[in-house]
Amino acid sequence: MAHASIFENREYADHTNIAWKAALKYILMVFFGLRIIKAHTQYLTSEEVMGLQSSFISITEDSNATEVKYPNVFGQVKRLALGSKDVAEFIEKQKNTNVYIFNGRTASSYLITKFCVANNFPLFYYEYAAHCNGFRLFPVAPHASGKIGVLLCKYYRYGIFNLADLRVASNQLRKDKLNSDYSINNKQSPIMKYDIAIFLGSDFEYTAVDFEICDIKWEGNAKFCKSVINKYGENYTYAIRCHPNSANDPNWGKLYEELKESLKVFSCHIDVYGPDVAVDSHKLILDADRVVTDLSTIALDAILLGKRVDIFGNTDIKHIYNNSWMNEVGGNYIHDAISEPFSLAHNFLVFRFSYFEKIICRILFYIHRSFTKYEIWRGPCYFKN
Amino acid sequence: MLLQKLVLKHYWPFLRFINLEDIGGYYSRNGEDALILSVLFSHLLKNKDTHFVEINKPEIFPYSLATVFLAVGSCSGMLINTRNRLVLSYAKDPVELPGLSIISESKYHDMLGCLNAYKDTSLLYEYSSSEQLLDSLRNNQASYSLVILNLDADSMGLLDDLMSESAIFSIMILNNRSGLFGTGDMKVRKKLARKGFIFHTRLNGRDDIFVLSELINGFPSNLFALMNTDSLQRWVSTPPGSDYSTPR
Repeated sequence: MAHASIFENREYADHTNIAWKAALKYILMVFFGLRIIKAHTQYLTSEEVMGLQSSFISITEDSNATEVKYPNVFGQVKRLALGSKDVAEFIEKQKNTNVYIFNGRTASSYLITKFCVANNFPLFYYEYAAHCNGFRLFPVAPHASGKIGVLLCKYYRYGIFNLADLRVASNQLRKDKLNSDYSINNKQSPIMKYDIAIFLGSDFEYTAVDFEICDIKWEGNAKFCKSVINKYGENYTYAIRCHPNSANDPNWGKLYEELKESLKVFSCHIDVYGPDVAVDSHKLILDADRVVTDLSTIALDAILLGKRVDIFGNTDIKHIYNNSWMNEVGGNYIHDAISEPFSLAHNFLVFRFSYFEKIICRILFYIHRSFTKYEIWRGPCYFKN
Repeated sequence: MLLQKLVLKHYWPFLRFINLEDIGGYYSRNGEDALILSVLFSHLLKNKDTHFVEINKPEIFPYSLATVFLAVGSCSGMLINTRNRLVLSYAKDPVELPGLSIISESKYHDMLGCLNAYKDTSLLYEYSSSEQLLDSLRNNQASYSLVILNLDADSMGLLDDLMSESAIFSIMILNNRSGLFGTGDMKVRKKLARKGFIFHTRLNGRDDIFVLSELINGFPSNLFALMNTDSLQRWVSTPPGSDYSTPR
């Protein structure tokens, strides 16, 4: 099924030609039994805006985005959220049905996900995997990193694969992770060596995440830092490295002041490296006795560099790093072994098309492209409003 | 054989066809042990506490497959069924042998093989019925890397019972070559597909190897039954060329 607004409006990030949309609509209705759900919902309650907030903050990269600052974007994502509420109400009237949805966290999908999770409808999340010639089907929310880690660990433990090929893949992953463009271009030496290096997340990426669906809680960097220092005590020196993406957040200045204010209660030595400081994060990691992260994937870098890592957030990296079987198998080489399960990423939950289906997809792709010029498509992506 | 492949490829685009007719092998004369070892090697290496089950092992197979793997050191126990009686054989301490010299001194000489080295440590139990065997298996709480069986009603019935009692990771069905062009019983394959077993390899045009989806792409096998599909499974595959390092 699809919401009527898909075929009637030109929504945010939707650059499909209207004529092609109309053709698609009737092809899907006639040959695939597509049902159209008409728009009727007019408002959202305060409990129903999380998906809208998630998309809104993600698109604007502003953790303090408001309707006043970005009225056009807000209007469009609100329409998407209203549509998802219509779809959720439609699903409520169905019985014994499986639901397949894209992403599950966006304005257009969150309320559907929330409804299905709350009412125990079997829910699966699909994602594009065109680079794998197919799609990915998640049995849990794609952002439920901890639950993904459980599945990935099981796949690695029981999977059948050529061990030599996986070793090659894991070496490649290690090389890519430790030699990323960012790490190559940011080589400023830290001021000193620290006992504990704390790596922060970026607020606009994790704000508006539903704990009930993703099992992930974001309480802000200030609270995270306080938790770390309260855990380890004030007898250590701390480095706090802000997430580079925070530099894009117009609200970062306020968040940074809050962070510094919250750290004033501690008497220990704390240095804060801002997001636009080109400090060498890997050097910070290597010089520290321990690394602490929340949801940031820098945790994997730290593990690969052989450091002890304390991960506060419920992430896939945490699950695999702390898994008893992984530690039993990896032993003292867990820092090396952990690259192998993550190397399975290009096949994890992937369903591939056959050669014939690939040809059909290619034909559809070129038909779609014939209605759209990529120069026009690319332009609006750079404008937030 | 070509027509058989074309028909099967239509239903399972990623099915592998392997012919080891003349390769021989310790377990059989047609490379079954070599192929299984190749397919399941990474699984067995990481899960040494799992077992094998052979239901109504054909008499032309000189030895038990599990004895091959015991010698390789890949597993720590085995369960063996024979045609006329159900037998549990459990070896506790695997020993690596430089050469594979399998001699059976058991009274079941013609029906199963066991390593001479295990004479003192292997335990043989005889069960008069499948219910007795299943009771024993329930008490052992084992999981099974591989179940090998022929395509007959008794064997398939015991397989159903085993599936309901324990975790099975892969199944090999021997001599599945009925039907059009010898393509085999499609109903069995669809039934196993509903339980999340992916049709992985066809050996010598007659033996089918099925592997749980968790082992191929990590997707939980029990969800296929929930989705009520036996066709989504056809898209489960390993990356082309076994290349995990790049998106393919």
